[in-house]
Amino acid sequence: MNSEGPISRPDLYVLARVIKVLKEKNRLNRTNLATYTGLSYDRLMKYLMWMSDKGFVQLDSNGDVSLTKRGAETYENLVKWILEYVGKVRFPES
Amino acid sequence: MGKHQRVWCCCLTEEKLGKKMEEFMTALDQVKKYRQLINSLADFALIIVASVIAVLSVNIIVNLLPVLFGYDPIQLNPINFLLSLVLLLSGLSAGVLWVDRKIASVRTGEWKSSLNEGTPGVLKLLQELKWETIFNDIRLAKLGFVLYGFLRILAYWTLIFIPLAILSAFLQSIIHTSISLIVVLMIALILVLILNRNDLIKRHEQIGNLDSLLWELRWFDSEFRRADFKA
Repeated sequence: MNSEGPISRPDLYVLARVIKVLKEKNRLNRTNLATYTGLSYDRLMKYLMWMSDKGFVQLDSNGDVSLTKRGAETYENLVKWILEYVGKVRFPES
Repeated sequence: MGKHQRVWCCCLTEEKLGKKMEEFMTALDQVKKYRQLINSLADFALIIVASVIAVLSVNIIVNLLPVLFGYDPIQLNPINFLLSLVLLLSGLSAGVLWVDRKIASVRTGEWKSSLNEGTPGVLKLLQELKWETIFNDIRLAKLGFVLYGFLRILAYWTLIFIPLAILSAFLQSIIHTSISLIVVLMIALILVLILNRNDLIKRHEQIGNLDSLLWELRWFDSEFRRADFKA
């Protein structure tokens, strides 16, 4: 991924980490969110911009970030989707 | 659905996902172990061939003793029989132990720390999987599984055949009743197949399971590649 430009195809792992932290903490300022997710501030900001464009998070003027209903639902849908697909795979006996 | 109920449902789904992913990664670890089988097969075959050569060498030496030093061949037969049995059993045990050791050395469960992160960890694991390598490993695992089974049958067959052949030769020298070598071979094969019946059935089922795993993972891979983070 190009670290200079905007995000074209985001890393699902990073998105999921941001959403999971926001679900647990409800509302966080950007610096704390960067600490909790283990991302650099710049990288987090790119993801937050992308997520905000998609309507997954809300950024307020105080620098706080919160998860929107759409963001929470998307995350749940993703979990369900993976569960549905991984759940269909039958495994050999160990 | 209330907020608390919704959160509870989501936690349950995430917990289920973690468990399912654990099964998924365990299956891939199993494939890695089967894949290791194919690397160990050459060693296994070499150990078996070495023990068969040792048995044949002992037989030749024991058969030469009466000619060179005038030993009674009838007295030497039980020694020959016992030595052959010990050599073959040692070779087979060493081969099986070697393969088991190699398989046990495969590193598994390295994904467990990622799974502790919950759903993000699951996504990380899924993104980091090298699908083409996995498909290739499954194909080789199937081959290794079949070949190892075949070699095991061959080893047991040899193991049973040689004592039976010696016994047949012994009977011929004592009571002058000869049994055809083909009959001895057939008896040995039937005995091996009966003794390994459960292993053969399990092996057949596992190969079928690996086959379906390969197809299902191919399908999952294509779906996962197409997936995007859409609301």
